[in-house]
Amino acid sequence: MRHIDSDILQKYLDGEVSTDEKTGVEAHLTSCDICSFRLAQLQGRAERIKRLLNQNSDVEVVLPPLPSNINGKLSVNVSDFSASSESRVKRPLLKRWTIGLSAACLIGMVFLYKPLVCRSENQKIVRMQREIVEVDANRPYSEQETTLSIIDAEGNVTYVE
Amino acid sequence: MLTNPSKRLKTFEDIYAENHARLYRLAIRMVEDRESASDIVQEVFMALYERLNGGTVVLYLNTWLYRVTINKCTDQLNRQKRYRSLEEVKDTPAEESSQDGSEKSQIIQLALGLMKPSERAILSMYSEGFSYKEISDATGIRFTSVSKTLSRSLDKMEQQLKKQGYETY
Repeated sequence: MRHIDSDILQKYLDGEVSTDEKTGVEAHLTSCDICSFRLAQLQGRAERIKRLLNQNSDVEVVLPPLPSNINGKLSVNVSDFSASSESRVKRPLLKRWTIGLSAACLIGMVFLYKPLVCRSENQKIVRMQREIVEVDANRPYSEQETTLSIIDAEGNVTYVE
Repeated sequence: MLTNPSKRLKTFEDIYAENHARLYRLAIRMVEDRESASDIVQEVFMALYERLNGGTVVLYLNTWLYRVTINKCTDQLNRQKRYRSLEEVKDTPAEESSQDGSEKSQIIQLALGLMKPSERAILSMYSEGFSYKEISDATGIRFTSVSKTLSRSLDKMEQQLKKQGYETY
């Protein structure tokens, strides 16, 4: 049986796990005495360290007066600790890579699509040739009457005089 | 705690009176010296006043206050090289670390002295009951990494306290 990592147990203790994580941790704890014991240990440790740190800095502080160059009556609009919308949402690395690769594929497809369209248009003309309809021996070659025949991919022939 | 993002109008005096003790406790845990801690907190409030008086809007005041205090404490520690290596502390008598505290206080200060500034900050905020989101916002540690860093810091603190002869269980 794989045991739960200490940091996940710590998160669980502090009520910082997601609903899925909470369900998983609780299901594991019902069947694992080692993790249950570890959880109790971590809880005791956290409480004692918190208490020690608070006792250690629990000093009487006389509030020093504000420096004379500060106007204490200055009005300030105050908002408390940041709401989740303030800072950018940090996604896990794997998720960021997946999103990045998907975006790159989409951009690549847009660029590749255009040349494909052009190529298919060009492919309509398979062969184009110029033919002299009737040879006039008294005229030079450049002045002979000609017909342009265009053969497309489906074998249709178009004549242009 | 302190999760309501609603806006209120306050005077600078009120902000000073409400936050001074909390910031002082944070600073004293980080720099281990009352005089330096007091100076740092005064600097933080001076910086805040200059910003507000200059017309700069400070969004999420508590986050700002904690972040600036932590940064100033970290700068102070880096300047003075106050966080010592394990070898140095082993050779240091406990009496040297705190002149006016009890034996327990000296042990805690010695243990804290071995922690990195970020670890001191996270432990300090955790002991005050801040949420992981608030810790992340103030310390700059990624939200998803707070539990790992906190767990590691608690382990380290526990080990140091045991080495100093103080059982956390």
